Amino acid sequence: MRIKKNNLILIFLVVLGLLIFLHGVGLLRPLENFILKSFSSLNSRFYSWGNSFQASYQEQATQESLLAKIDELTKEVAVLTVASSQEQELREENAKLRSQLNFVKTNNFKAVAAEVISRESLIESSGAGQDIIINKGLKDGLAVGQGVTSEEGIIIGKIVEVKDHSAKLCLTTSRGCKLAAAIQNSTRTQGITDGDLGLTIKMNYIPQLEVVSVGDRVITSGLGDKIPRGLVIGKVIEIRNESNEVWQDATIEPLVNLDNLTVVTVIIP
Amino acid sequence: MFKNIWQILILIIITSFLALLQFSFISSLPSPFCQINLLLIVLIFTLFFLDFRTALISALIAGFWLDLMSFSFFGLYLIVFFICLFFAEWILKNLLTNRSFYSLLAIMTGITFFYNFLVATLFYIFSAEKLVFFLWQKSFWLTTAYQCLWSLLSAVILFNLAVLVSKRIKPFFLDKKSLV
Repeated sequence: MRIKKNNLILIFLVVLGLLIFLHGVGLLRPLENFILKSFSSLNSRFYSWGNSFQASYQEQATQESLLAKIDELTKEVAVLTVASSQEQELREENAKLRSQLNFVKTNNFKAVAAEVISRESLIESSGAGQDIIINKGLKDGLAVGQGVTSEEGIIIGKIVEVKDHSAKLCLTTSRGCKLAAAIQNSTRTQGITDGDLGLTIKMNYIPQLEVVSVGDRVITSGLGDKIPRGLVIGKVIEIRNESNEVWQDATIEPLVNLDNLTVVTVIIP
Repeated sequence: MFKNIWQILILIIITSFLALLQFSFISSLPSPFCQINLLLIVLIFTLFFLDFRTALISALIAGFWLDLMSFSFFGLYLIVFFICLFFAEWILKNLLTNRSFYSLLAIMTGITFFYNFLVATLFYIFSAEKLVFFLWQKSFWLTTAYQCLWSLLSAVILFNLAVLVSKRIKPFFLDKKSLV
């Protein structure tokens, strides 16, 4: 009995070692890709069922009609914010181009829609904020560093790891998910945003001389080569400004609920 | 032989389905429901009520699926499930030798804690960015606590169901007459 059990353990260890080895040398890749691609739609279906349960679970906690109205208005505000931000950018760009007649630049970006199929566990995320996994990957033109937006066009994160048919992206509220950003204020303050405990976004090391106000919109500055300029990150909700310090910090609130994402768009330069 | 193959095929289908459910459906649920560790519960249940061989095959399939779909290093979940099962089997053979309700509760809770500790350790060791050590993080203890609670709840439900089906299970409480 003991020998039989030891044999079983040995067989398991051999199979385990073989799987790891075959995966490491890439021999398992065709099978892995086939399995992942075949079950991708099932994954996204399961995820959307779970997400709809989450939406209904949240609605039961408060008055249903008020929540629906808030949800509707929040989406409308997000869309209007994006439109307004884009209009402001276009106006400023137009003014610049008028003064620089020799300057010509065109940005051609492709957008790939993807479905969210999973959310990282808190153990895996080590408390930094839960990353999400989508069902598009290298074969669809995705690469590390590309920006990802919600359905309303608000940037929600960027790709941090990519496989052939899936990709992992960090949300803007996750610690370590840094974006080159600019505040739409009078001085066009530039900086780097970083997530804060999976809840909000922070922009630190803003010079004291920069005038930042609550309500200012924060957009991507386009200084990174893969994320275009002008994508809305959020709006400033709090400023920490101590007179005896060199820098000031801003807390930024994302304009979409990052817990309810089911479909996202990857911006491919 | 065909019966064995048929049984293994059913095991593969069921375990694969549970793995997909764990990866996609459960992860999308709101807290605390997203903390249900369905695969671990099923593996311990299989070990407790069936046998080590069946649990080991299930662990192999479940671990393979999770390693395939997740972005952790390949083999993490295979290794963790194997160690947890081996440890659970050792406990059942040497410490909790009677298959009673209390032993199921103890093994479910203990192995859940051990699983989380193992996963967090391996993630910490192999992660590129050295974040705060997981034992000092509130999220680790909260997740572990929720998972243990869900394991306890599932142990209660599964034991009740199994008692209806099988006579191999010991009663809830010790029989006073046997002590006299």
